[in-house]
Formats: sequence, C-alpha cells, structure tokens
Amino acid sequence: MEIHRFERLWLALSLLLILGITGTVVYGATAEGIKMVDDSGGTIDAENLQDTEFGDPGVRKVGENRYDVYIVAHRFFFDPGTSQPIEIPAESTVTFYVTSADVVHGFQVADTNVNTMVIPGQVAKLTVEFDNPDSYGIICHEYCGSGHHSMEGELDVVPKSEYNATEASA
Amino acid sequence: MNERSDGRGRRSRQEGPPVKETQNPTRPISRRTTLKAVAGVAASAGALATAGRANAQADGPDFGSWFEKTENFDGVVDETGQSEVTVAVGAPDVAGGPLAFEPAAIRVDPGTTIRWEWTGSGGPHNVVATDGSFDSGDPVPTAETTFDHTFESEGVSRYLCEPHETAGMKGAVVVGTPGSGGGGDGGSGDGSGQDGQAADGSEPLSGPWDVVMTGLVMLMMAAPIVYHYNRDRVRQRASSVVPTVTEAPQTDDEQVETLGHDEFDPTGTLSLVLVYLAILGVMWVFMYFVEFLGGPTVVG
Repeated sequence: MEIHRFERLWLALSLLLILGITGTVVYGATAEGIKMVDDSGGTIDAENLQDTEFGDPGVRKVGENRYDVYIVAHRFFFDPGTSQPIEIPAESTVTFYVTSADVVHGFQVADTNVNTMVIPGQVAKLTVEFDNPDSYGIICHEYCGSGHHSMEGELDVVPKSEYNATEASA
Repeated sequence: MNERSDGRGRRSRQEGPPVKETQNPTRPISRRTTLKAVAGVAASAGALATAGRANAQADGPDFGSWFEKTENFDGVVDETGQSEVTVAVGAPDVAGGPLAFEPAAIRVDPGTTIRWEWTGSGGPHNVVATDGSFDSGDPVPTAETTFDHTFESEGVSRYLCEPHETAGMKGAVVVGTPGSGGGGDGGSGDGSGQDGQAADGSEPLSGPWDVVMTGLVMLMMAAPIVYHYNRDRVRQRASSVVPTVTEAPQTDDEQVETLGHDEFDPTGTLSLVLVYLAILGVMWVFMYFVEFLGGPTVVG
C-alpha cells in the first residue's frame, strides 16, 4: 500500500500527540504525585453524623503544617464553607474529608483539580498542598435540588503569619 | 310492532337514531380526520390541565399541603397578646433543622411585629411571603441578621425560604382568628389564604394559557406525524405513475488527466491538518500544565 508523503507526515504527528498526552499523564502521576480520589475515606452512617468526626466539622491542626478539614455538604450549603469561609494557612498540606448529610453533592475548589463527588454514606478524602495565599470558591457540581445553583462556599488560604492558631479548632 | 317483512322491518328501524356503521363507509383515514383527532386530544389535555389546577387551588386556609415537608411544624403556636414576636431562621436544633423556621406557624394579634432572626445555621436564607406582602431580599447566611414585618390586617400569610423551599423551610403567620373563629373574620381569612396560593410564583401560568400552551405542544408533537403521513401518500401516488429513474451512465471520461502518486500535492489539506494539530498541542499544554497542574492539586 502506498501512502502519500503528506499523509505519512500527519500520521506521525498524530501518533506523537498521543504519545505526548499519555506521557504527560504518566509524568503527572509519577513526578508531580497527582492522585485520583479513591475509596480510602471509608464509609459512614449518614443518619448519625453528629456522633462522628463530622459532628463538629471544621479545620483541625494535626501536625506541623498539616491540617484536616471536615466538611458536611447539606442541601444547599457546605458546613463549614458557606456561612463562614474555611480558613487555612499557606504552605500547608490539607486533607479534606467531605461527606453528605442528605443527597449526592459535588465538591470542587474552583479553578483547581480539587474535585470530588460527595456521596451520603461515603467519605471523600483528598489531600492537597496549598503553597500560596489565595481565595477560592467552593461549588457543588452535582445537581442536588432546587437550591443547587446557590450552593457555594469559600476557602481562604491566608499567609502563614496571619493564620490564627486558635481558629484551627473552629 | 308491525313488521311487514324481515328486510323492510330492519330498514325502518334503522331510520331512527343514526348508526355509525352506515354513516362511515369503509375508507382510509383521511387527513381531516387525523387533524380532528389531534385537535380533540389537544383540547382534552388542556381541559385536564385546568381541572388539575382547580383542584390544587381548592386547599383553603387550613394549610393543606403547605407544611407537608416541614418537619418541625407542630400546629399553630399561640403568640397572641404580644407586640413583638421572634421567629428563628435556620433553627439548628429542631426536626428538619437547620432548614426550618421555628416556630413554623404562629398566631398573633393584628398590629404585631414579627422579627425573623437568622441563626447563622443552614446556609443562606431569606423570608418571602407567597403573596408578595413581605420579602427580606436575597438570601444571606449571616447570623444575627434580622427582618421585621408588622401584620396589620387579619388573615393567613404563608412564607418560605427560597433556597430551601423544597426542604420544607416554610412558615405561616395567622393574624387574629380567621377561618376557625367567628363567622365574619372567617371570610377575610379565607380570602387572603386563597390570594396567597394564587400569587405563588411557582405557578406562572394561569387557566387559559395552560389550554393554549398544552394545545400548541400537542399540535407540535402531532405535526411530524401528519406531515409524514401526507408525504408518504404523495410519494405512493407518484411512484405508481412515474417509472423509477435509473442513473445516467457516465460517459465523459476522456478528459481525465492522470497524475503520479507524489505529483498530487494536497497542500491545502496538509496546512489544515497542521493547524489543527498545532491547536491541539497548545490546548493540551495549556490544559494540563497551566490549568491542571497550575494550582493546588490533589496529592493523596
């Protein structure tokens, strides 16, 4: 079979593109340490969240520059996140534990790949490194009812010096 | 009964009420009958829609299904005799909380000011009367937000929190003793209750428009069926008359110029493909390295 030299050229370029895209995913997973959200958060009784770590959701300091954030998604707000912003210091590693008290919600820190589905009875666990101070929106991206469009929150990454350690237990 | 013969007798009996069989000789369904049927279906669907609405409006000053999903509703709480009454917005510690007004339903005297006080629980809330008589504006989440409204005239007001309406965050204010109490007052209570229901923003269409809209939708749904039915009939008629046309054989191949394999230069196609590849490459780099890896990323 004869292949025209132009065709040979663009076939080669397409193969290169496929290799390149596969290569970047491998690079992200190995060099950058990008992880997928898995089931390591475990399961929980959605009816009795008050008896668990989610009974008093919020930010907890668990080590030097390490924080755990427990978030309960309700119709149609994040607790914490909506009525008061979640505040964490920059240059820290934060593990989010997100679960739902009612229906399936979404949890996305806007403009980042911090993004998961929030399923009642399941805990979504995501560890994220925040380097720079910034303010992010949190949105629910799974349709959860008539107030879905208004379901949002705020995550503030504040400079380390400004972070009030007493707020960590809030 | 005098029947002269079998045949005559039957004939004369059938001259009374018209019988369908004899009126419609066997004949394929015409376009007109199809249209008639469609119009009939549309009209009856419209009538059904209005009937449903009339039913929904029938629930009067007793709250009907208003508090169906309001878990903390436990009868009307009597707050008469006070000039100012507080209702919690986003009460955290009640059934159905924090998406609840507490108390959900209260009875007050005419002239009483009700103060809604935000607790800060349950996200952003607002207080909106179904009849539009009061409205706290856009939902706010902040604790200690307050909203006051003074109820001057007797009647029943229903209100809700717009973001949490479906979660049963609804309330009602009964001013005076309408409905259940004295006969004269009962009338005014009934009236305002009905108004509230009718002015509810969740039902934007009213009676005649329902019929028109439903009819239009049904017509639109039926149009392709009617159209295809007609077209098929025309085609059938045509195909029975016109013989099928066979494609003319190609005869003008003397002018074909033969090119060698590599002499053919589709440079236009090549440049197009290269441009597409370049766009793909740029998007790939942008999406992965700038958008995806640019900010904080999930590392565990």
